[in-house]
Amino acid sequence: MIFKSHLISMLVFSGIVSTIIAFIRHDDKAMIRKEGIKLFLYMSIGIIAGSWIINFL
Amino acid sequence: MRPYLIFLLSWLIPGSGHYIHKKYTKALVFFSGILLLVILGIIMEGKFFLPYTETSNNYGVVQKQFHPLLILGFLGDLGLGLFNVIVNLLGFAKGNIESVTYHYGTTYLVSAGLLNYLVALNAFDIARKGGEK
Repeated sequence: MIFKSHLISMLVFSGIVSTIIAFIRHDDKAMIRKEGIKLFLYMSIGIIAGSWIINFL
Repeated sequence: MRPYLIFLLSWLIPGSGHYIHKKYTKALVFFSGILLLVILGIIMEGKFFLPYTETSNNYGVVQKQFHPLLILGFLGDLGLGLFNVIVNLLGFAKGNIESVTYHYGTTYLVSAGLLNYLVALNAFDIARKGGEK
């Protein structure tokens, strides 16, 4: 069994998904990099913020 | 006709539609990314959705009950094309609900299928635009 840490599971997932979506949406390398980083940050920050809020429920 | 064929091919083998259009980097990224999601999903003991649940009544007769949410999950997994068939034939992705990573694994698998739909649609779009020129 791998990824016992939920955070790492989600970060790896975010990394792969944001890379694929960035490649789907753009052809230019600079735009792919920019979109990939942006999506990854959105997902990562969303995950951490969501988890933090759930912690109080 | 050709764009539909490319869509079908790209659905069966992730990235193949882009490979035909000589977008080799994209093809490699899509194929390896989706394959990686599937492998991680299997290692994390996730499962492929079935469109029904099986329940047994008082007489021990097993009944299949279809559920809309399970059907959606099943359609998501179906997006993997040949990967879905191969994984099922090998007997993987049966799921282990006692595993800590079960839900993550299942999410990895269904997400891989959904992403492949997007990749196939992108390949279809490229083929259609190419045909118009």
